[in-house]
Amino acid sequence: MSTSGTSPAPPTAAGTFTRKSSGLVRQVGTADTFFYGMMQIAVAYVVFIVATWALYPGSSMELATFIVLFGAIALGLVYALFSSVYPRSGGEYVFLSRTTHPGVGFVSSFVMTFWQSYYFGVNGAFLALFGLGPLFAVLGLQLDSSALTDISSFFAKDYGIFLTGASVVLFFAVIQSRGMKLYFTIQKHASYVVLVSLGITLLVLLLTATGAIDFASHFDKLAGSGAYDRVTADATAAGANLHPGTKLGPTLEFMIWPAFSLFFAVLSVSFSGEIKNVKRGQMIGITSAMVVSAFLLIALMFLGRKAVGTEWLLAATSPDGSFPLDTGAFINVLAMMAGGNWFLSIVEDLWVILIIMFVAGTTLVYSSRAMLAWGLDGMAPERLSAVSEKRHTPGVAIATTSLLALALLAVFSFTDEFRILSGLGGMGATFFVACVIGAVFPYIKRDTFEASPAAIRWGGIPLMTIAGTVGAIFLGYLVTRSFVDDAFGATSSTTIRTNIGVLVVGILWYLVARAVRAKEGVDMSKRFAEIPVE
Amino acid sequence: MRIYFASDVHGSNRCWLKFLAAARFYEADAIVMGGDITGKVVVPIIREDDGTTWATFLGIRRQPKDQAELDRLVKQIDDTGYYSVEMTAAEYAEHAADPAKVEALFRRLVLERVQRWIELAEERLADQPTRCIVNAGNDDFFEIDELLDASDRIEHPEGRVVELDGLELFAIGFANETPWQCPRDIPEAELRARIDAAAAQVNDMERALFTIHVPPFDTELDKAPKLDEELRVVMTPMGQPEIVSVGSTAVREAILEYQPLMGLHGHIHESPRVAKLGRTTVLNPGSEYGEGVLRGALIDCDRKRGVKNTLLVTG
Repeated sequence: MSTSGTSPAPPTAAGTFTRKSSGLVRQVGTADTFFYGMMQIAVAYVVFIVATWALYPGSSMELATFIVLFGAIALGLVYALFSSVYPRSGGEYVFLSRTTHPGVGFVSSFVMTFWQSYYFGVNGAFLALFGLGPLFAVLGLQLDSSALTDISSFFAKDYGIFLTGASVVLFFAVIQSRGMKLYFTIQKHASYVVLVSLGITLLVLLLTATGAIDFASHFDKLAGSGAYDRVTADATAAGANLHPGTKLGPTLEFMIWPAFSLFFAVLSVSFSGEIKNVKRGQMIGITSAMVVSAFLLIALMFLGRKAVGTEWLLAATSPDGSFPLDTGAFINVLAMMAGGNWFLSIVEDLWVILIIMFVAGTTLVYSSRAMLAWGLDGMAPERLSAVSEKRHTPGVAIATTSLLALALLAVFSFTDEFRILSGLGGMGATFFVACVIGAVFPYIKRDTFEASPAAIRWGGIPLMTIAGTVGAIFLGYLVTRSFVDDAFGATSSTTIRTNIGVLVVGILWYLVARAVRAKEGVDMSKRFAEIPVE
Repeated sequence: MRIYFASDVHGSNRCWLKFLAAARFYEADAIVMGGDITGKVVVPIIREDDGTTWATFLGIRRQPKDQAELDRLVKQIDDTGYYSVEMTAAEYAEHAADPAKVEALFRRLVLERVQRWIELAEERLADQPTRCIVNAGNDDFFEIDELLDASDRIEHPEGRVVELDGLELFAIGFANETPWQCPRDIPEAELRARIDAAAAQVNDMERALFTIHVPPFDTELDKAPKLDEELRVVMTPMGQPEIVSVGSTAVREAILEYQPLMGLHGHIHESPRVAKLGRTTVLNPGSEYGEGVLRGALIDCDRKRGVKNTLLVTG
């Protein structure tokens, strides 16, 4: 806060008068909100989204992304509107506690925090699987270096995946323990690198898709003469269907993949000042970020497909086919091969590496802050809310999140029990609950709704109800799919048992914590209970 | 004894009514309000020549269809902490063009509401033994002190010690200087002098409650978004506000020097926390007055054992 002697005019809203009072600040603009929203969306997940496409014969990646965008926008609106009702709530923990029951808020937060901790470590694993491994595989070919190829192989092995993930966990645990300023400074500079790297990748794919670059010859040059044609021939011989057409059913089933990337923009907690206003700018900013990110995903999918050929991409990623490199036919691999230059390959892969890294960092921020809030609320040991006097960071919460992340990373790395989407069901369930509560909020908390900036209606129906209903339909479908999708979902007994277990532990945790605090003379039922006004 | 402490209700009728009801709801022996009780925004309700009314409230144009809807709108405005006032379009234009008229309007509306709140306290606490302690904050006009002093139900301990079941409590509503130049913003040295003058009246620091509106500097109680020169929040690349300490160094030094039992603070709405500063437990319940949510702190303490329990609550 500036403490200079100058005193600018206090901000005001149209049609009102304000006086000079502390705390009156100006709102964040639409453009800024858009930028922040973009930073939340894991566009780099397009790497494995495209690689799983062949598992859904007859699906359209681009159409699935376009359709699921409506669900993402609905979810984004629910969170944006809730944050305008409770601007300092900090996410679903508080607004679900206040609108339903403290137990619902806590259990939702518990489930989300567990899976965010899971993805803290697993994003580190993604770095090995989809960022570093592919980079060294391509560099090994481009520089004809077996040492680089060996490094690539290291990143594909279970201990390589674990050690990379563990390094990411420790890196962010140390960085965030030393203060968020350092973390944000690093991220700010990294975001510029991401923009340049992604721009160059899109340009290379565009040039390849339009024929200016011949992908087949570049591929053959690295993988051996005739390698490009053999990919299609081998897959066809193995019985892969390379002409499945486009059908709605498989397309809808494929939506769980782009949803996994797009939905998490809502985890960005908005900030609003005391001059409350209808935050159309904020809603536009959040939804625009989702729209632009979705079209970025679609562009990468489309250009990637056109660059290498649709049949060839299906063949290269088909479980029946064979890809002649020590890495998957990921879109970054294909773009690096199209680029045909080792330096360009490094530049092209940076956006994947950096976005995955910072998604890991964001999951740590979410999880450690949630644990801090539990400690403050008496729902967890007080030590969990301990904040370093020197660094002002929640060291115990960061350490706890990191240990949990390492344990879950070990299961992911050394067993087949956890998959990429293992956490989508649990986290999606929390989003589903938020959407359902959002849909009924204008009716169960009518006074609060009417006296808030969220009191916007379309055709006489609260926007919150419309968005909540649409979001709940999408989330209900996606959560169900994430538990039954045999293609590459989260159907292992361990994943299902873990999802159920996390829910049960969350409920038990809430009940035990309430009982312990009651013994200490603290009635936790009054923690969020509204004081009745006569 | 159990103390319920809240702060920064900023004119919200709903929060004030909750504050008065908190004694029964939380079974508190004393309810303490830590300052900034007055609001910051006036919402003019424009009455047109044809008798219809409209207002811009929370950015949405509201057009009540009848008196019942108008009454509901007025209640919503008052509960939010804003002041509603009916005027014609011409009167609105006059006020919009003349800051002195707006200032006078604010003073009238603020003092009317404080007087009404005092009457409500006297009505609703009449049959309760609960102590009701209310102090001003840096945003509050000095004129409200006279109204609080005139009440025989509310205690107003600005700069003086009151005994509270063996504990000693004093209050300071002044704060270190802010970018908004509020009525009770003063330099750190002057703030320290006021604290010292009040502390000199305390007999036993280990049983003293320093109710100082502004929290101590560089604690978890004083974190607020960093602002630029145009009062815009400075954001991080992730879209989070950049957070800095904005508390008072004078308050920090005084607490570390005197080491009272507790420091009860408000002022920074975004920093609800309980923390330790040396041996002293310091807390800030935060504020969400605009949503009609009354943030508070329950403090179980007594003369023998000091602080037994603290719990931040949102009522």
